[in-house]
Amino acid sequence: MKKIRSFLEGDLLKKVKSGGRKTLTGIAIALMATFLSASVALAQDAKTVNGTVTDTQNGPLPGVNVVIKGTMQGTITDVDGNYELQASGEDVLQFSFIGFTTKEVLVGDQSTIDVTLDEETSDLDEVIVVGYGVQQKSLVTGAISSVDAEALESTSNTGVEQAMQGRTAGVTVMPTSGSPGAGAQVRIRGTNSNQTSEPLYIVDGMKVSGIENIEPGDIESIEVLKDAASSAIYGSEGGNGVVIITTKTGRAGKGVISYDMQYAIQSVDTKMELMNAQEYAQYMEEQGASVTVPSGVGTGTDWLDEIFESAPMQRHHLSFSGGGEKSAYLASVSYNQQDGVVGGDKASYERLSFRFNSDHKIKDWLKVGNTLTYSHSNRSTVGEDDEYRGVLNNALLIDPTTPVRYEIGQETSIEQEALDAGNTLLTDEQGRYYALPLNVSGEIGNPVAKMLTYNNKNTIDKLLGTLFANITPIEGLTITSRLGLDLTYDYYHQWNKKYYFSSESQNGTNTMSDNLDRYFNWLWENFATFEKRVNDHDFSVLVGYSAEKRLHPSWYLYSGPMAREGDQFAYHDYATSRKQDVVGGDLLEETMNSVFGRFSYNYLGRYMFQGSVRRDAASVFSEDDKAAIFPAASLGWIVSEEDFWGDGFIDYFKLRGSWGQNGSTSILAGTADKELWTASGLFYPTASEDGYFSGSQVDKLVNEDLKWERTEQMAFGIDMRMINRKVNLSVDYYDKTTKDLIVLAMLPLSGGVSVPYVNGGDVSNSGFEFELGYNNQFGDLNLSVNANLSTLKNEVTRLDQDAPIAGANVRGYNLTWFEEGEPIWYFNGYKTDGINAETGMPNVVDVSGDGEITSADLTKIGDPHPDFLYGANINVDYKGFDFKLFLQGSKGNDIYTAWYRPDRATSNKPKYFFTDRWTPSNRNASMPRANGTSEYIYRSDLMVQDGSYMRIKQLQFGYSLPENLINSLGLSKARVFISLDDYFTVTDYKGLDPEAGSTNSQSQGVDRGVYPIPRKTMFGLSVKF
Amino acid sequence: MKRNILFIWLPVLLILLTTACSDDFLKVDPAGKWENENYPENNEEAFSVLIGAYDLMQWNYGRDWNSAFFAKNLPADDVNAGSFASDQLPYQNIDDYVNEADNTVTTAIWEGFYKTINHCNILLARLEADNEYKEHIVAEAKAIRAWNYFELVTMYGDVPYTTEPTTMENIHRARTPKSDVYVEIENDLKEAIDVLPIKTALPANERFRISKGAAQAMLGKVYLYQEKWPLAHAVLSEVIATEGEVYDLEEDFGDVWKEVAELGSESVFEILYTSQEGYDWGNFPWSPGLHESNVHIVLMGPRGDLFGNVGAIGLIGGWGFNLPGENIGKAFEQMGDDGPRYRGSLLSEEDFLAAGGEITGETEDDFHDYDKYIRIKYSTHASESNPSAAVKELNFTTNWRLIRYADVLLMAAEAYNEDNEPAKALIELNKVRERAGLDELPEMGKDALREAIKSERQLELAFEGSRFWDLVRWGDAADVLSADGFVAGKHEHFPIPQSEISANNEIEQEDQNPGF
Repeated sequence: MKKIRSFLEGDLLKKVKSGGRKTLTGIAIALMATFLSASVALAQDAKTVNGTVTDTQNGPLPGVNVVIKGTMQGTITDVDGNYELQASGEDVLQFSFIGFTTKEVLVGDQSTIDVTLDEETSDLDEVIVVGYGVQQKSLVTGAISSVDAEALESTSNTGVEQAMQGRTAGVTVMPTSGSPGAGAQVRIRGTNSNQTSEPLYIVDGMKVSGIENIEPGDIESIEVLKDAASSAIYGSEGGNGVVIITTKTGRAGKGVISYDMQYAIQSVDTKMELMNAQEYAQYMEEQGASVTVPSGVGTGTDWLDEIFESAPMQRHHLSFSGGGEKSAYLASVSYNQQDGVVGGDKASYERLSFRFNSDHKIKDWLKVGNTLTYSHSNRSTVGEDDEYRGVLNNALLIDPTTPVRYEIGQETSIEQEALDAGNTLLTDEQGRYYALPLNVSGEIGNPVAKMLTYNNKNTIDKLLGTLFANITPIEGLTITSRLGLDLTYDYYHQWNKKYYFSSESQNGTNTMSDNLDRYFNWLWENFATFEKRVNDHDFSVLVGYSAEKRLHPSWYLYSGPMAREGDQFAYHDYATSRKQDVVGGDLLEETMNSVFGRFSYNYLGRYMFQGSVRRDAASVFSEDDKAAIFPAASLGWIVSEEDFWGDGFIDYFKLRGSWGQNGSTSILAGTADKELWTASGLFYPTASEDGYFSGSQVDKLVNEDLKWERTEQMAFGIDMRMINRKVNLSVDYYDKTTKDLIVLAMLPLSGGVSVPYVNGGDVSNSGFEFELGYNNQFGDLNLSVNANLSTLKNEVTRLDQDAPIAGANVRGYNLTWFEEGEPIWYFNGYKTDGINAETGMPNVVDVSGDGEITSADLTKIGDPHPDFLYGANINVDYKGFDFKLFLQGSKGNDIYTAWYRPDRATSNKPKYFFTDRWTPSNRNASMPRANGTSEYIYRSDLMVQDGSYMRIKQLQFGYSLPENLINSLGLSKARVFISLDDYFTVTDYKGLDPEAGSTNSQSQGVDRGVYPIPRKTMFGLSVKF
Repeated sequence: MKRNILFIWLPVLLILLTTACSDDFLKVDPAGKWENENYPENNEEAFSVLIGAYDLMQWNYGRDWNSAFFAKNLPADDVNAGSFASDQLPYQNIDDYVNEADNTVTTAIWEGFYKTINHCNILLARLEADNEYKEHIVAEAKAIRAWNYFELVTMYGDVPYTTEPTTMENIHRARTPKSDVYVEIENDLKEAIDVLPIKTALPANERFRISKGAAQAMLGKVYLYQEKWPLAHAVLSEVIATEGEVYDLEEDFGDVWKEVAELGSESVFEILYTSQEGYDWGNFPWSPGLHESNVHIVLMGPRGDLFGNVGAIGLIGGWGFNLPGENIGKAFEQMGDDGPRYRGSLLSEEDFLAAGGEITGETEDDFHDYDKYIRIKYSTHASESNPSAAVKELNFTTNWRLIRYADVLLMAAEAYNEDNEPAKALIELNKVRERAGLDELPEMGKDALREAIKSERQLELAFEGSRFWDLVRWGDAADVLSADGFVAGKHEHFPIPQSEISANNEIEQEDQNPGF
């Protein structure tokens, strides 16, 4: 059985495992065994042996088959679990019972043999964590997926979000970047909102804003509450689904020391190909742009090659755990370090974390415990996901005719002029000037040199702890009080080098800045669970109350010039002037209190019902609408338990159905109903230019009618176990609508207001989810295969205003839109219909039908949402060897090439722009003639590509050393492995990486020059003492 | 026994719980903001609200890459968009008369004018003028509102008009006929003129505030645009009557746009920017309305791809927008104006090279919109930035002179002439010519004088956003601009923004300006 520590573990766990089914079946089999044994003669030298058979919780087991091994002689235990038979000293007694593991005992000189049988594990008996409690999987009526935490242990992901990718159906994980330490966007059953669609994260009962600094090795289990019925217990914050993470703790018994380490080399594998110098020169000539082509330039500089490098990463995790009769503990320390494949240590991440979890049974009615983790992380980044200034973007755009650097004295007049004008040109370690671009202008600079301009570090210190007490005043009643604290210091420090690339990309002074954000959240929850079983009726009631507060003060400091360039001068005391000083600061404060309750009932463990309700009152809502109620209900029926269910190949068949509502506080401030005046940032210079007059303005228009965003979901599911439970299949369908979506109003600009938030419309998400598993044993070979697939249909079903809402802006125009009848944040642009054989320009579709191509013809040209997502893994182990394959992919999503700059006509372009272009001799072309600027190319579907991909996330071979060998070393486990992570990718996408996305949810699928996800060649070691 | 103890402690727990349950717990005051009931409550706060209006104008006229000042210039023949053909397309499109209703610039400035207007409406609704100080503020807010409506009707024709603060309920408003809006503008300005002090009565540090003279000049302009000639010269003559005491022409034409003449005698209505921040690329607040320097100036400076050694004429490199059009250069030549006004406005390529400048352009794109002139007025004068700032490009203090005294004189001249008072017209016209170093014009017929005044306006007010709107009101736009793509009956106005039409229930597609 999967061991789950929870705050309710003791009593609740026992409860959920009771049930009469096994006993009945057991008796039938035992009767048959008795009939058989009666026909067998008694053996010689027999003596009477008796005893009691019990389960692990000391309950008597009636109907256990007790047989002398190798014979047909035997008996069964009576209703009290007692047995008696005749056996000789050499006989071996075999105790077997359905649902339990068979046990063999040599009689010897014993005459009383008491036996405890262990329950056979079936995943249906596992308990899973649900909101405020645990539940036996077979009794779950909602849609809850578990992520196998063991699978996370040997991955190369430093963050938990990425590690969840592809592991379960209905969960979409989109890495925001491939750079070290980057997070991921997690979507549970689609994108619900046009603001935040991130799920609620609960770590050991505490609500946390993110899970980026939870060490995967410390995780015991991850549960994803997908349907509204499961997440409605979290009310106003459950609308985007809930991810519940439980960390490990010690177990009673021998202390365990375990150590895991991984070391990997990362590299880049991309399909992106750019024009080389010759192709570029020809393309520019055809385009009518005259460019400088240095003699002997050959194929020029391969800028992608220049910025990519191999980089190491490593991970260590050491833990100590154990426990006695009354206490258990776990202490761990972990360290992660990763350099970037672009930027090396300029784009790096490291994290050190400690954990101490413990629980103590102080009285027989009181158990207290804690979880505590402290983490310290440092992350440095280089520019990416920016169509103007990123390193990646510049590497794509800079002309290949420019060399990386010039030998000393070989600089061109371009460098000389820039130097003469007093600018600072960057040099390499040998003092050689990095080349300024020969043929591109604007913000595009030499990306190798640009990397030097990033000198930043984001340090996050995070202390997350909970302290809880479980009180059991009477049988069946557990009262829990739990206090959670989350203290975070997020400190971003940077200094700016002097540099010059062009008049649009330069910095003439050394400056430094610090952003400090302190977050302090507390959550106090008190809840009681009462369990009662009357005959075959199981009841469970939960009632609770919680209060929480979130405080977020922030500070900003800026000064310069620095006394000298360098890390050690990047502190404000050492600025050589006070003239450029800037300070800033703010405070955000939120409070909420809630009451909640849940009623669960099942009859015979066969018919299940669950209902829950939560009332949240929060400071972020308007005065007259401070509270809302979120109800949910769900039903389950294990059909295979019915008498009419024959012994077909389906052993287990369950139907589930649920309905529920929950909400999202989204981005509210609690002041929508008030006219507020602000002076922030409003200055007007005095005539003498020696200061300012302070101005004030009304903050934004009042909207008294602003309501909560509410998500309603109907969900159905089927769980099946087939072929002796070797195959399991779950199928889910959901239909979810987010109502009264909170959006920034699209009001007439002639109102002259800062627009308020309004309830703008509805978004619907629906889809099927399939999870299929197969587990079998062939002698020493264990095989398990799991696959999941989710379909996704996203649509804005209602928009209260006539005007669609603009989202991501690319180079001055709005690319993504929120519009009725379309997927959320679809791409808008010109639709083309092939390349005109005569002109070589795209045939733009006259969507408006007015005979002209105007902005009225802008239309939907792409959808960033996949049609379906899938993941699969295969695990094979044979004797000491094991093999894991894990893959993941998406199908049907579009990616928009947003990194290209038509306003910088001489910037470089992808190779297929050259090879596939129209020329007078190639009139039947798929790409237009050479042209660097046309809106009908660069704002059209020619920039949209299929973003489908399949990636082998992991291919791992492991070997566990034989026990007899390692036992002599004092080890209980030793495994070594090699692994290829994110190594193989199948995609038609011709950009840097089909997967790397954006931190902005309105920019999903918008490729502004992303940091590719590196592939890793990894070695790992795992030992246990 | 143990359980009994437990039950004693349970009520304690419950008491603790209820403390976190109270309403106070859920009330969180927003950081740093006043609630309407207690703001503005004194003179000082009323003044802050007024400053809020100036701040909005500072933002709207200088907003990065959506400047109302630049937009006013672009359709004229004295200004080309410049830079590269594909750079800042919304600007290029206005310059080339291919702008459409979704043009981000004409959308942004529409928003900017209305934000200023709504702010004034709020001020006028919320502020009780219970003393002289507040009466002054109220009058000023009316003048600001009038000016912004005047800009709107000039650029867009009929526009939604209101004096009510905007609410969710009243935000959808139909277009009001231009003539009705003019009536309201005149009323606002007349009321303001009655109360406002003259410029020199203001504390020196506050002389950016709209004074009586500024409101009179505005009203004169409003009359002029409606061809109400007698009213126009009547009110403008009141401004001219203060010549020498309050207003006068700067001696040196080249100084007019520079810091030395900031809020000086020639300044009637001026939007302030400052170089005191010493911004660099790291701390420049790009967010709307937060920067205090004139970041649009760097856009309008000579681009390194085309011009070299601009230091020879006191400039630093910029981004190459706003290149002079061919017509303006020729007009200077034709008028024989090669004196201080020419040198303070623009230079021919020849004169630029003679001064030590270089032409460094290599590719065709570098020469986009280049008509062989380099602009001097409102350019990147090194002296206009903070000398100690490391990034001069971001620290131009250059103010936009929206109305200056020379304009008042020329408007008066035009009104007098049209009202058949050529002698008075000539007096005002010759003041302007004299400062430009040109000969006084002799008496001449009304038509000839009209043409002389037009030419004088073209040269004197080049690159100041006046030319196109003058051509339109004179009915000359088609003659002068058709060759560049101007379509009569269409381009006299900017289109009503597409987003306004789609979001405003009272304005439909058929209400759009003709041709769009």
